Order: sequence, then C-alpha cells, then structure tokens
Amino acid sequence: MKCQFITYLLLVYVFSVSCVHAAEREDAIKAGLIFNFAAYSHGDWFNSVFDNSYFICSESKPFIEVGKKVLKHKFINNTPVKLIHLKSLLTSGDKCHSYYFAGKNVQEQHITHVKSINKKVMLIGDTSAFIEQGGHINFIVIAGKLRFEINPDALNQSGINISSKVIRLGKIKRTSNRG
Amino acid sequence: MKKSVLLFSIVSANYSFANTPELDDLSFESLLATDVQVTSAMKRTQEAKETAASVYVISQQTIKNSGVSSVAQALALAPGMQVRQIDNNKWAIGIRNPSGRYTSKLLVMIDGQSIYNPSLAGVYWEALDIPVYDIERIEITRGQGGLLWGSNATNGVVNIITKHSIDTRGAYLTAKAGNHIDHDVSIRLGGDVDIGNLLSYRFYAKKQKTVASDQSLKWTARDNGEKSSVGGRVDLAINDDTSLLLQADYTDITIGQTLELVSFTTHEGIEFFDDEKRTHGQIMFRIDHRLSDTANQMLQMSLSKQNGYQPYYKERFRHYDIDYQVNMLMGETQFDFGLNYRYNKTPFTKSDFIEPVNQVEFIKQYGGFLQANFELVPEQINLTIGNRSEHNSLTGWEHQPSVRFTLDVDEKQFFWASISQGIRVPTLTEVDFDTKVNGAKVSDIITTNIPSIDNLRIESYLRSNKNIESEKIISAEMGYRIDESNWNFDLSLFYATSNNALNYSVDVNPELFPMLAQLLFIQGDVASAVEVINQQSIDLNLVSTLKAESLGSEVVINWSVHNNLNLQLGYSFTTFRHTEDFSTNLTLSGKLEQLSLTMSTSPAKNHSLFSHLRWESGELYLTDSYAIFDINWRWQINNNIALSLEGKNLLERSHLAYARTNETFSVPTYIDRRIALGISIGF
Repeated sequence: MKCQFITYLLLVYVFSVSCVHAAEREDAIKAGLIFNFAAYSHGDWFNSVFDNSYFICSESKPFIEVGKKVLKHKFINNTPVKLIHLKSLLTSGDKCHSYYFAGKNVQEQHITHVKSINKKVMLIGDTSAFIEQGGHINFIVIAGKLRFEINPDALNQSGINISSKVIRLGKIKRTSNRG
Repeated sequence: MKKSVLLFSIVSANYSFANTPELDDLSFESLLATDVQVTSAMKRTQEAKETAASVYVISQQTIKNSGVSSVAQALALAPGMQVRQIDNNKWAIGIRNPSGRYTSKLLVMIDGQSIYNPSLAGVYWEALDIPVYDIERIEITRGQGGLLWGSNATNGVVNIITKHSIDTRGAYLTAKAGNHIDHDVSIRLGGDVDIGNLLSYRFYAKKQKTVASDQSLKWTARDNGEKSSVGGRVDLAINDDTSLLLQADYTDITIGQTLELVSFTTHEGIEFFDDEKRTHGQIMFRIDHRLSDTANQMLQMSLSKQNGYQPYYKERFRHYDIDYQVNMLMGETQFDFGLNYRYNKTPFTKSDFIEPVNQVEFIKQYGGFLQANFELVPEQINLTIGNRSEHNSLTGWEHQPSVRFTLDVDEKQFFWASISQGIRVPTLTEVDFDTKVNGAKVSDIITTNIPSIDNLRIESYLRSNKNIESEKIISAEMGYRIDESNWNFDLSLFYATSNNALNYSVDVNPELFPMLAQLLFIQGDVASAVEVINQQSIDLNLVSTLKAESLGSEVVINWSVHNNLNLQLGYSFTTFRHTEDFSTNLTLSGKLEQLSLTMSTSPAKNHSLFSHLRWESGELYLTDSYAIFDINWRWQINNNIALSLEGKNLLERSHLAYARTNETFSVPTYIDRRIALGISIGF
C-alpha cells in the first residue's frame, strides 16, 4: 500500500513537471507576441529617447522567468526590453509599457486599477471577457495555436497606434468607449 | 526496477524543468504558426531542422514569390523531387525513384487527407486544383514515411497544409494570362463569426483555360485544358481545448490529349485523341481536442469521390477513411498512437483495353501505429521507435517498424539516422486488370530477314496476378545539418533494398518458332506464316520476384547573403540496380541526378525577384538531360494590389521532359517557353 502511494506521488510529480514544461512553451510564444505587438506599434505611450528600457510587466512569475530568457538581448526602437514581475494584480505598474494579465482571475477592477495609474500602457490578457473589461489584446487558442483579439480603438485611446498588419492578423473586437 | 525507472523519469523531468523552450524565430508569422503544445495531432512536433528524416518545407512565401500556380509546379522547387511534365496537363512526380504517371511509392495528402488513388496508382495531379495562395506550406519527407502515414509512403510523403481560415479573411482575387494560359481566374471570400471562441470560414471558386503545346513527341499535340473548382473551409474553435475543421473541394476538368492506343488489327500503337474528363470531390471533418497541457487527441473522417472518363478506362472511385490519434508527453517521453480504417470502392467497367479479371471491387485497410520518443540524454540524444501494423484485403497484414536516432552535437549541428521497413501494396493494375498493350514486333523475338514478317506485331497483354505480394523496402538513412546564423547545410544519405519488386515474365507459345522455321525456310510459305503470327498472343505476366537496391544522397545549402538576397543550392543523385541478372521495364536501373540553384531577392522596396535554375539528367526518362530556368517578378503596388510577370522554361524554346511512353497511354508533348502576367487584389 505504501509503495503504491509513493508510486502515485512520484507519477503525479512527473506529470506535473510535464505540465510546467508545456506551460513554459505557451508563455514563450506569448512573450514573443507581446514583443511583436510593441515592435509593430508607434505612439506616445513609449518614447525611445527618454525611456531607458521597454518594460513588459506581469504578475505571473513563471511568465516573467520565461520571458526574460526569450527576450534576452531584444530591442524595441534600439531600446532594450526588460521584464518586471509585479507581486499582485493590484501592484503599481506605473513604469510598464506593456502589461500582461496572466491567469483566469483577472477582473475588471484590476484592469481599471492599472489604467488609473498609467493611462498609456498596452494591456494584454487571456480571459474571455478581457476586451469587454477594458483590455486591448486578448490571447485565444485556436486549433492548438495562439491567436488574439484586438481592440484598435482602445489602443488609440491609450496613445498606441498599432500596425494594420497586426490588426489583420487578429480578430477585431470593438467595444463602447471606455476611459 | 520499477523504482529506478521512476527515479530516472524524475531526474530527466527535473532537468527539462530547468530549460526554457527555444523559439528561434520571433517573427509574427512564425509565432502564430507554432503549436502551443509540444505534441501535435498532425504527427509533426518538431521544426524541420530537428526531424530525424530528410525533410524539406516549401513555405507560403516561396510559393508566393515563385509565381507557381499549381501544387505540381511548387513541388519542382524542392531539391530531390522528381517532377516531370508529361504534357501541359499531366505530371510524373516521385521521390528517390524515376517518377511516372502512375507511381505507387509516394503518399500525397491535403491536410492529412490522402488523395492517393489505388486503382492505377498515384495521384491525378491534373485534378489537384486547390488555390496555391491558400497553402500555408508543403512538407516533403524524402524516404520512408510508412510508420506515421501508412502504406505506399515508401519513397516519400507530400503533405499540403492549407491555411487556417482565420488567416484568410477578407476578399482575394487573382487573374493571370499568357501565351500558354488563356485565362486563370480565382476568387476567395473569408470571414469570421462570434461563435464559441471563433468560427471562421473561406470559400473559393476558380477557373482556368490553357492552350495546347506546339509540338508532340508523336503526331499532333492536343493538350489544351479547362478546369473549374470550388471549395471551402470552416474552422470552429469551440473553446481553448476543442476545435473543429470542415473542408470540402470539387474539381471538374476536361483536358485534351493525344493517346497511343493499340489497333485491334495490326496490334500497333496508333494515334487516338479524345478528352480526359474527371470530376473529383472530397470532404473532410476533423476534431482536435486538448486533453491536458501534455496530451491531445484527434479524430478525422473523410470521403472522396473520383470519376474519370478515358477512352480506355472509366473509373468511379470512392474512398472513405477514419483516423484517430493520441499524442501525449510523459516527462520527456512522447508517445503517439493511432488507429485507422480505409475503404476504397473501385467498381470498374470493362473497356476494349482494360479488363478486370479477378473482380476486385474494393480494398479495405485497417490498422494502427505506436511510436515512442525517448530522450536518452536530455537536449542531446533522442531515440524514436515505433511500428505500424496494417491489414489490407489484398495482401493481409503488413508491418512497418522504424527506429530513428538523433544527436544534437551542439547548438548548430544535428545528426540523425534511421532504419525502417516500408510497404508498397499492389495496385489494381497489378492484381486485377489485364491490359492490352502495344504488340511486340516479331523482330524483337526472332529475326527472319523478311521485312513483311519481321515488322508484324503479335497481340500482347499485360496480365495481372492476384498473388502479387507487397513490395518490402528496408531503408537505412542518415543525415547531418549545420544551422549557422546566415547559412545552413543539410545532407541526407540513404540506401534501400527492396524485395518483391514488380517485374513481368514473358510467355510466348514455344511452338511458334519451329512453326515459323518450317513455313518460311522450308516451305517458303510467307502467307501461312503471317496467318500463324496473327493467331498468336504474348502474355507479360506480372510477378513480384525482383530484388532491387538504390543508393543516393540529397544536399541542400541555404545562404542568406544579406537581408535582401537568399541563395539555395540543391543537389541529389540516386542510383538503382537490380540484384538479379535481367532487366525490366517496370523496375528500372540507372542513375538520376539533379542540380538546382534558387535565388530570392528584393531589388527594391515592394519588389521581389525569384529565379530557379535546374538541371536534370534524362537517362531514365529516355530524354536528353536538360536545364530549365524560371523567373518571377512581383511588385506589391500597395497593401491591396500586386502585379507579377513570370517566365518559365526560358532557356529553350521547348524541351521534352518525359518520354517513357510504355508507362502510359498518353503521348508526351514538348514543354514550351511560357510568359504570363498576373494580378492579385486583396481587401
């Protein structure tokens, strides 16, 4: 009985490690896409003359760990990309240029809070109502590949003009004006 | 023992936890094309450069820049592919063996749905008419693909992967015309609807009319053509874990041709012309379901109907198949297994030239495969072992085991090796059809020095054999790749031996020669000798007794000279020989050789120039060796409109690419120099 229990625990551990490995892959692709969203945008939300780095923030530590490796030595408008881990969804993110809301516990209040601190930030998430809650870009999985919904109007209101190439690649979702 | 296995799993799993998945290419297109999961339901889990096989991928960018307008033309861009135009409509395509109009060693699929026809064997390339601008990529595996893909993939697999409909939204129109193309127009409409995560769709319609060549190998060229196709695709992402795909296509073609059919009086091939008419329809449904972050399953069902009319052959082919597959990751070990069932209905109407003798009206296949990939040394050495066992109603159970090994020498060097067995299942021509062929000349058998006797032809038949065995090919392959920042090198070597290769034995009446000798040389009675000859027949009886071997290599070097200039050099050769002491027209011996140089550049903003130079040996096709040069210039005028100007076969006014007339009733034509102007509009 004891042997069977230990065997079960070990198997669970092995499987859980496999799950982590798989999640890292998804985070790596998301980090790459978030980088591209910024690279294909212009506007006053990011000024490469005055800003020393382009900051991508998230409350998800695993995402930040993966993102640091994937985006090592990457630049946006000759400015190095850096990733910052924020301790919670309500932590101040005033330095952030892109904010990724990882996980499924994001609520509208979290998005509103970030916007109240920093009006000019690119908001990316992966919950079903993220755009309706005020987000700008939302990841979805279609046929095993990452795609995204995008609200170009909301991005414009945050001082971000994203390339039409990006808009064409995503699914446009427009909402009523939000502050 | 159990504990040590578990401990090993933990150690390897922990090691993998410390390593971040590598994404070599952070471009938008590459990231959107990357599978979120390591496991993939389409039996493709790795990048081509990490695959333990000789693979080549034709990207959508290459398809666009090259100006090709059909899958067959696109395949000619891949080093090692044997792509020969028989006439303006028909193609002979193969890998690692001389290609023929009917070749049963190459498996061709669209999005995993086989379009192989087991009747006369092979693919009707003239009826494969999907819009090339909706192709995401074409994956070519040179060599054995039997374990993953089934029988008749002994020499290679071509998988045409079309774009997800979410990537083809909006309207897109194309039009092309030239000295060879009267018109080639198409329209595609796509969009999306808010159902589930997303429902997206596209529908297309296209029409093409082409003119005949200037010159035929014999008689008059009549290879004009008309094709019409419609089709569409619907993708529904129900949620993050489940997605559905429904795809359907219908093609109607009428193509002119010059045929060489046997005269019933002289038994000699005579000119005959009549159109080939074909209608092909197929529908495919697939559901992908992510079971967990480390496992997914897939169920695919498809139905295909092919109707064909030829003066010598009327065909109504029906194909149903169902495939189920599971892919899972346990630690660093990946397991794939699948089950499949295929039913090919092949009712055949007797014609004057082909007669079914064993009444094979269907071919059933069912089986499964299991494959495991083990990481022996994390991030360095992998071993993949597996087997496919399949039962078919012609030859019973067949097995296709495979062992593959990979070694990451360092970040830039990759080595792989494999040994596998592949199976070629006999075709209906081999097991069921008796075919009337050009009569053998008397002088091919005996020389009398009497022209009126020597030039006579004896009625001849190619006789099927219901006891034909499947051909078993054992293949040993290895490869080496170097991937530097601005150049890469890919070398593959292979050696294959084949048992039960196809051949025929000649059956002539043994009384014929003594009778002729008596009548001609003793009695001097030529008229009676002619009468005796006209009463004879020769049987070419198909057998599967030949042993053969082949040896060859493919080399591909890519060099990004600078941001706007890319060069690719490709070289391949294959030698064939029989290990028995006689020659045959069915299993050839000789050498194939090919050299190609491709250049892709952007000489100015919004302009692209693509050129392809290729030299091919002609020995095994009974032609001269020749070189072709194709060039395509494309100008993206604005976000919506692009113009293109293409030239094909520019080095010569015309050349003959294929002359093995004993393999097909079609008379080949000379492939002319071609110029065409095209426009595409997207919005």
